[in-house]
Formats: sequence, structure tokens, C-alpha cells
Amino acid sequence: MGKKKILVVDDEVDLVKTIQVYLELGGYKVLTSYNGDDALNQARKENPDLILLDIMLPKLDGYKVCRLLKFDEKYKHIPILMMTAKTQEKDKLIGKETGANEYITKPFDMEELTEMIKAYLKD
Amino acid sequence: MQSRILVVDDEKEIREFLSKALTRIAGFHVEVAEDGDDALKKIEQDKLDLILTDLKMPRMDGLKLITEIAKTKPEILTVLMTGHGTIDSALEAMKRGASDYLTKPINLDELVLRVQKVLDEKQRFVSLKEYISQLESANQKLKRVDEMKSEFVSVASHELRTPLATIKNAVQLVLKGKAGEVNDTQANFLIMAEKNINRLTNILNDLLDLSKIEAGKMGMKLEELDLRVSIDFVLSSLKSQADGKSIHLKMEVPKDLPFAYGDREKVEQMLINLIGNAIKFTPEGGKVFVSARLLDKTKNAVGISVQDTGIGIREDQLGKVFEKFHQVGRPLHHSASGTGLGLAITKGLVEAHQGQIWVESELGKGSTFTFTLPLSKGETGEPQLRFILDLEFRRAQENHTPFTLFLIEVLRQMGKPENNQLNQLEETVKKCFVRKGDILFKRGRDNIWAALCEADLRGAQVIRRRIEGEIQKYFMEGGDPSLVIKVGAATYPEEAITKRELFRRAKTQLRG
Repeated sequence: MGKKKILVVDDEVDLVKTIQVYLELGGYKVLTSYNGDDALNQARKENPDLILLDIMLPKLDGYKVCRLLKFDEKYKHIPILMMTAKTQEKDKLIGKETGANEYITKPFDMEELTEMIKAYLKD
Repeated sequence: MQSRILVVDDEKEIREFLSKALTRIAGFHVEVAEDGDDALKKIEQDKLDLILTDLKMPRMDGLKLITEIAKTKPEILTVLMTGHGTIDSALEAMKRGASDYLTKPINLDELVLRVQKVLDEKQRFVSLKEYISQLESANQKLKRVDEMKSEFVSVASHELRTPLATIKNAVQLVLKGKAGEVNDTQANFLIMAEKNINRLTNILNDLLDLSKIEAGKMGMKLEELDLRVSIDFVLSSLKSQADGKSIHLKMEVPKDLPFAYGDREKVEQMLINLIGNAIKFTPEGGKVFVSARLLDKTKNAVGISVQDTGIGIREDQLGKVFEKFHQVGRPLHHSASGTGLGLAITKGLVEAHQGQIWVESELGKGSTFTFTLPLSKGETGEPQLRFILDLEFRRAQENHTPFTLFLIEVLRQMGKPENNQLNQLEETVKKCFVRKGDILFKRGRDNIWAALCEADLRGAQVIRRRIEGEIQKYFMEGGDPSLVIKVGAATYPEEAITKRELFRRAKTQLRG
């Protein structure tokens, strides 16, 4: 079995880079994207095993990307972990409505994040 | 500035006599009119301060004139002159808006004195009004600035999170050896960096909490609270911190302590702040004692105390400990220093629960912090609803926002609904109240849920339709058809402006 593919989406290039290095060292293949539009295209083309998605994104925000994938029979199986700088309850609830699988608030612990990813990619 | 007076009398001699007197003795500017119609015309043309009018005049009498002026030019003062024995008309004139009256024969000194006094009073009133409007606009400005400040803190804290995440990841990458081998010295510095990133994160969280509290934008999820459970939970989560300093943690909560009513997370945050502080300021081998007890029963409140054997607080500092960024002395371990916001946040959280917080302390011996929370059930049976409605009324009045009370009652045609049915329905009900600021809670023994939403009449209709839709869905997906679910609602301020009225209105619909 080949390496699992993870798509990391955030407009903060440095943040994406640190996550990429971490995950690659953990044995994953990492795709990166810096805006919502491109993230959606990559997700549809590459069919990743998991997506790490920021909310505040240029062009298309994370909520919309998430909804477009989660309401599409072809892609709704892909686990989506949302990364957010917001802490309000409301955002969490909207996340539930968009169908995101999990939430993680910035700044997060990379160990915690990798544990979460592992749990979703187990089978 | 010279005051402008209009003298109205049908007798020419009196007009001229009064006009001269007022001009010469008091230095007023005086105009004259021979009857009511003439007076009204002059009032339109000229800017006048006071009308001195006779009572008995042809066509329009003094009373009518005063009434007319009070209606159309309320800023102009009126004084009535009456003959002897017509005191009733004088009183009637005062009722209709006259400032004063004089009885004939007119004493000139008295006339000038009364007119001057009426004008002075008016002047004082005008400057007072100006002052009030200045204060009001200053207050508005301050409110806006304060809102902007809260908004700024909130945005800034969010904006700071992303770069902080990058820094944290980068440090962790190096620290965990993922970017090559790290020697002990390097590791120590990286650990120092990591620790301070965490500290910065805590400060951000505190700032955000405080800005939410100050803006009154804190969502509250109110429920019945077993304080034994909450205190126990907080103590066990702080145990390792206490063990590190050999501090003995003890709790004493009577087994029959009634449930408190509050937001679990926020109550636990208060406890973490207070107990964490107690541990921080208590030397090795000391004690921290947490207790809860019923306060004066009529007050429907429970008191929670956190007592330590710490360094204590100087008397002159006691009043300041709840201020923002105030730290009393240095913590015993500098690395444990906090943000100086913990107690301010705790106070804000306690007050959001309509509770109080205070501290008693003796320097060198220790401190006791005590706060109160409302009880879940009082003698009247519904204190929690009263308490929430109090909160909402206050907030609605301050912010001029409407809100709607919903009551959802579950009945069964035969017997009572079963627990699992209620639990299932709770899920359904919860789906209806997911907006920010919605408060949903279950009322004791009656199977009624009460919810408060920031919604006006129209919003309430939308929510009601959503509730009805969810109920329909519940039945369509196999809900027990013998259940009856009723919905009642009332909106402040359109439909009800008092608590009782609001509640009564919503409840009446449940019976229908």
C-alpha cells in the first residue's frame, strides 16, 4: 500500500510548510494549497485520504470548500479536519452543519494533530 | 441677553402701563397685543420668551391662549393675570401649562420679581437640558469607543493565533529532533520558547474571554450543576500542580447540597482560576481547602469558598485584586506567573451568573475567595427561569434588542412521557436553538423546555416554524404518536414587557 495522501490548505505559507514537514516525516504524502478554489480543484483531482482545512481562505472560504465536498457523493468520504483561529461556539456549530469531521483551534499541538489524523486514517 | 415679553390685554391703558413698567424697571424688551389672535400672530412673527396675558378678553380668552401656546410653542413661557376671586381660572391655567399667575391689582415689584423668576427657572432648565444632552452624546461616544476596543481585542487575538501556530509548529519540529539532532542546551532553550508560546496562547484566550465578558457577548449554556462533580473535576485536574509543591487539596461539600444553576464550563473556569491561584500563592506543604454551602435560603444561592494557607493579601490591596492586569505581589514561582486577568475574568463570569465574589485575607496566613451561584430550585419552583429572564431583560434593555421566550411542553395522552422519549426529544429541541446567544434549558419536573432567543416577532415566527418542522420530522421518523408537543412563545418588547407577562403569554398558548 502506498503512502496516504493529505491535502493541507491554509493561506499562511509558513504554517503549511511546518505542517508539511511534520507530516512528511510521519510518512505521509502531502499536497499543499493556499486558497479555497485551488483546494477544491486539487481535492477533486487528487482524491486525498484526508484534508486539513483552514476557514479563512481567499477566493472560497473553508466552510464552502467543506460543504461542496461533503455534499458530493464522490468526495463525502474524505475526512476533513478544520483549523480555525476562532473560538466561538457559533463557528463550531456551522462546522457541524458543513459536515466537517473535526475541529482544531490554532495554535495547536502537532502531536495532537497527528494523533487525530492517525485516528481518521486507521482502516 | 435681553428677554422678550409680550403683554396681552384688551385694555389699552393696562397694556401700556405694564409695558412701560417692565421696560423701565426690569429692562425687558416688551411687545403688546390687544387680544388672543393678535398675540398668536405676534408669536409667529417675533421670537418671544414669555407671554403675560389677561384672563378676560373678547373672542379668545387667556386660558385658550395659554392652551394654544402650550400646544404649538411649548418653549414659550406663559403667565396669567386674573382678577380677584378667579383663583380657579389661575389654577386651570397652571394645569394647561402656564408657569405662574398674578392677581389684580398688579403690584409692579411683584410682577417683575415673578416674571424674572420664571425666566430664570427656564434658563436653568435649558442649560440643564443642554448639559444632559452633552452627557448623553459623550456617553454614546464612549460606548462606541468601548465597543471598538472589544472588537479590536477580539480581532487582534484571532489574527495573532495563526502566526503563533506557525511558531509553535516550527519550535516543536526542531525540539522533537525532526530537523536534525538537538543537544541538551538547545533543547532547553526550545522548551523555554515552547513554554512561552503556551503562555502567550493563554494570554490571548484570557483577553478574548474578557472582551467577550465586557461586551456582554458571552453565550451561556445554563444547566443544573452538581457542584460536587465540578469541584472534584477541577481538583483532580490541578492535582499534579499541587503535588509538585506538596500542597494538600481538600474539599468539603455537603451531600445534600442542592444543584446550582449555571454554565458548567464557565463555573469550572472560575474554579480553575481560584484554585489555581491558591496553589500558586501557597508555599510548599501548605493547604488549599474548597468548600460549598447553602447560603441564606431565601436568597436562593450557594456559596463556594477557596481557602489557602498562602502569602495573603495586604489590606490596602484587597479591593484591587479583581481589577484587570492587577497582580498582588509576585507568585512564589516566577515561571508560574499569570496574565493578571484571571480574577477579573472570574469576577465577570460570576456576575454573568448574577452572583457575587469577595475576598478575605490575612497577610502571611492565607486568603479565602468566596463566590455565589444561583440555586437551581427555590421555594417558588422556577428561580432559574426568573434568573435567566432577569439577565435577558437587563441585556435587552441595555442593548435595545428584542428577545423571545419559547416554551415547549411534552405531554402524553396516557401517563407521562418516558425518560428515553424525553432524551430523544431533547435532541430534536436542541436542533431548533443553535444560533449564537440561544439559551435552552429544561425546567425541573414539568416536561417543559424553555428557550430564549435574540429574535423579534418576525424572527420568532421563523423559529416557531423550525420547531414545528422538527416536531413533524420527529413523528415522521417514528416518534411515539401518543405524545403531544406544544409550543408557546412571547416576544419582548412587542408582546410583553414584564417577566410575568412574558411567561404568562407563552404559557397560555401551551394550554390551547
